[in-house]
Amino acid sequence: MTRVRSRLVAGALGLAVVGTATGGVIAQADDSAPRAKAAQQGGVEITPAMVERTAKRGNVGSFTVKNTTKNTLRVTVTIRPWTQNRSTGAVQANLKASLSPYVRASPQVFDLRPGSRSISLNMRRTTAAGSLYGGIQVFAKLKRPKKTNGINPQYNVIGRLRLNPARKRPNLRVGNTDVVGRGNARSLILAVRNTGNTLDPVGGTVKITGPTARNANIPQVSVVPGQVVYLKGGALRGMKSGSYTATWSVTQGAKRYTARRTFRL
Amino acid sequence: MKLRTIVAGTALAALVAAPVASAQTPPVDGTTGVGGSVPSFLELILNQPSKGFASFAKTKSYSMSFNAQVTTTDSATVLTLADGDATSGSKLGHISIGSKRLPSPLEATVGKAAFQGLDSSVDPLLTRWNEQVTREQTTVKLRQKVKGKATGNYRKLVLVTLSTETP
Repeated sequence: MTRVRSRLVAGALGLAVVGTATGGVIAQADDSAPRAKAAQQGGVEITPAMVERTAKRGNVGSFTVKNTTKNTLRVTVTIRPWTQNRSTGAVQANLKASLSPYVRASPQVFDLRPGSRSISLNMRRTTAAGSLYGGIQVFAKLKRPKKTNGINPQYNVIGRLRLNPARKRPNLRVGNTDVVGRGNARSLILAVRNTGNTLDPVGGTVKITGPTARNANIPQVSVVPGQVVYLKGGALRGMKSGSYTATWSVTQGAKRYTARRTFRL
Repeated sequence: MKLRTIVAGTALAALVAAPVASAQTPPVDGTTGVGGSVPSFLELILNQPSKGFASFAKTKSYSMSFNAQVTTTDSATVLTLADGDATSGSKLGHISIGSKRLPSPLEATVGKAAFQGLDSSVDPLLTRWNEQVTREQTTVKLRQKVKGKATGNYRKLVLVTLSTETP
């Protein structure tokens, strides 16, 4: 009986060992496939892609850069100012300018083997406005590129840095109204410059009076401090020719601006 | 003696079990908050082309391509291409063979859009995503027009930029 029991136990143990071994193989097989794929065509990732803090001297946050290629990369991290498209409000990092006097990454230039590394951001000098908004440029190139000729693509990933002011001072300078587009695609715009220190979205309403009356909501857009964006006052399709008055009611946070502008159709 | 021990054990077990049984409460309906914060994420994967353009032996348009995979948690993200060797001047966007610069600029596109030269002051916009994507694959096509036979070695760095569009 004892012998039978010991055989049973031995059998069960054997099955368990086989099961464990098989499980291990399966797990390895499942695990190895994506790893092989990543090694074949790796890249660069940053997380978090947005660092947001209150502006102050010293450490203002950190993020992680990961190299998923199988080669060592030479990585350079630079903080760039935004340039904003006036019509769309979309931003693009200005690669010809740098915000290094204000914020610097540490380390700034380093070799990154396959794996990840944490980068801290240090504010060296505060801005007069009290806030700073820019792009975090992570440029990575192969440290030892193959000695082959041809086209060599390099990695350039741009995240966001938002250093908000300790005390918000929303302020806008309202410019002129204009009619853009042709025919049925005509629309009304109002130029505004953000002379404050916040990214609070700008929106509001516009009331058009004249031969044809119309009201419209202004789609909200975040304007980078110092930049100009055209607020959209809606389409003018179907409106009669003549002289019009547009009364813009523009809001940013709790602040409201009213501007009356005339235009002709 | 044995019987007394068994009875005593059973009684003890009953005493221990009783509070446990009374501690069990009938199931009730309820909600459990399941949540967490997911950090924002940007990833650019490039499939390094195994070979570049063929040697420019004839007058024609040469083309090649490479793949880019993009992961983003941002609502608006763009993929652009720029010259990685020069930022301005006559060499911007042009392939040089030795000291000779090809007259036509290197051009790029994605999908069926028109080719855009890399010699312009604005980086050619290849693709825009207005929502979060995961490992979204894009094939970047490059074209080089050659108007005369150009032999020799060339090398060009192109900067593939993945950038957010919201400040």
